[in-house]
Amino acid sequence: MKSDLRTHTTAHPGATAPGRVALTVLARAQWPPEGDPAPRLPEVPRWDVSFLAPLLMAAAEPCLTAAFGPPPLPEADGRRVGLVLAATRGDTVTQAAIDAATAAAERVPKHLLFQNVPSTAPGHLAALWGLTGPFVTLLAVGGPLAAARERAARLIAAGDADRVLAVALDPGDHPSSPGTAQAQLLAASGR
Amino acid sequence: MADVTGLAVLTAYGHGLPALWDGLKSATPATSRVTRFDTAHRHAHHAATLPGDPDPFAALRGLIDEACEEAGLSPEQRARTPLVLALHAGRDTAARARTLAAACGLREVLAVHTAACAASNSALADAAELVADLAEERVVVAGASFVDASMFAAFDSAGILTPEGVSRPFSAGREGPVLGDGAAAAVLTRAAGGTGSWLRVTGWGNTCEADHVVRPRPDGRGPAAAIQAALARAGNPRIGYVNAHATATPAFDAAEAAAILRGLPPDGADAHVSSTKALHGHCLEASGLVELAVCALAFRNGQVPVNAGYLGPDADCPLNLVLEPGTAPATGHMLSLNTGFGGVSTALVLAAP
Repeated sequence: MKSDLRTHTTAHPGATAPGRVALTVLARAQWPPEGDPAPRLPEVPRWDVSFLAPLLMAAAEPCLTAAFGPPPLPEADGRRVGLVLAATRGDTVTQAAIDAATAAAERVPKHLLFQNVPSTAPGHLAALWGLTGPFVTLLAVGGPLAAARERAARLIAAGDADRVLAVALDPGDHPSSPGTAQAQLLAASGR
Repeated sequence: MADVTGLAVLTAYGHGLPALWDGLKSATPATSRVTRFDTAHRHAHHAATLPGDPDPFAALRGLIDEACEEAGLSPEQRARTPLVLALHAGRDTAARARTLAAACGLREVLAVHTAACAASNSALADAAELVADLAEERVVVAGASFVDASMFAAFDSAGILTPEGVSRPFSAGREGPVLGDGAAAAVLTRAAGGTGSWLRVTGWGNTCEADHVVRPRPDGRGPAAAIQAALARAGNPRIGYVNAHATATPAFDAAEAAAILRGLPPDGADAHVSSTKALHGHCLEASGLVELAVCALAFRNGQVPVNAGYLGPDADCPLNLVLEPGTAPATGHMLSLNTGFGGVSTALVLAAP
């Protein structure tokens, strides 16, 4: 799956970010990848209505792979890696599907409840990679990458994590425009 | 640490802390048959709801004003104070959050936490950290969740809600939660202590179980790690009362019981434990804030709330449940737990002022 993503991934030490620690970007990835005229999102089991989880995985997995190799992380390492997801809005596609089933007095497909909870998609990623450190999901009021980096910086500054995967999502609502995603694996500079 | 110097709450028991305390003391659930929308096609028919169909942002506007007034914030102080929210994220939530902050005279929205049932605890931890690290002098934290037709239908279709309309946390015969309306606001301030403080947030922990997105590990490893992180931050006080997440879901309650025993050695089996979701309902994103108010009331009144709906012991939940009203907190330290789908696990250590 990952080999098909062709996601833009680079090691990029030396950058800084908001917060009271200077951050190093250990790896980064984005979706859609640069220079790909027809990128395809990965399929994520049980997330077949909206694009939120595929977007997350499309940016996050190449970023983690670039830094750590294949999953999962050793248990001791996974405990020190945090995960912060910031999105520009909720999963409006799934919410619309739930609203439609409700209005029609129909049974809501069971997996839509889980899809509609913002912590399930990053929880799926965390389970695959063994990320058991701090886990935060945010709705971004401003730029989602800045929001994710700001919370990540404070988790690192507080000593709760050595590294944090910050993921910024701007989910779309149609297959022709599924949205964008950016992932950065962050650490304190000099560590 | 951070002092909670202003606190306001709205639950199905009515508006205000006295209404919530009266409801908790009564040990009678605030549950009724749902009239807000049609449940004819659903298995469950009950929830803990307020009259009518309240708007979360309108409710939060009033609660934030109330909490700020209790904390004695001047307009100038409000203008220097940020807002941290816990909400379900929809299409226009960010814009409405900004409007809310402006209407309340607050500086800006710093963050909107969305991790489902753990959103409020996550927001409170965020705010406490900002205050404790001297980044902010004070932070207003607020969250709301009101039962609506789509939320109810999704939970009902997933087979999560109890069809009998009675939530029985940690009990034999438990079948699931009853959803509840809840909204609350709190002002967290750099430690002031003494009069004017409801309680102190002294520790917080946030982990991911990283095992399964909708099922807990039976050994409670994720929440136990959150408990241990929160305790370490608070200086490892002896916990006298645990306000548990327990939603009366068979597997999650058993895993949480294991987490309490695992995370609180050697006191876990002795600490008084109750889940108040049987009384005020499961308030989803607002849970942690509503339960912060529950713990504040327990400190102030010298009594911890009962674990309502209890039918009898479950061998998978070997805890010291609060079954008799009037039980005093055993120490000046409480633990408030909330977990959510995706494996998110949160713990707050709360101390008497």
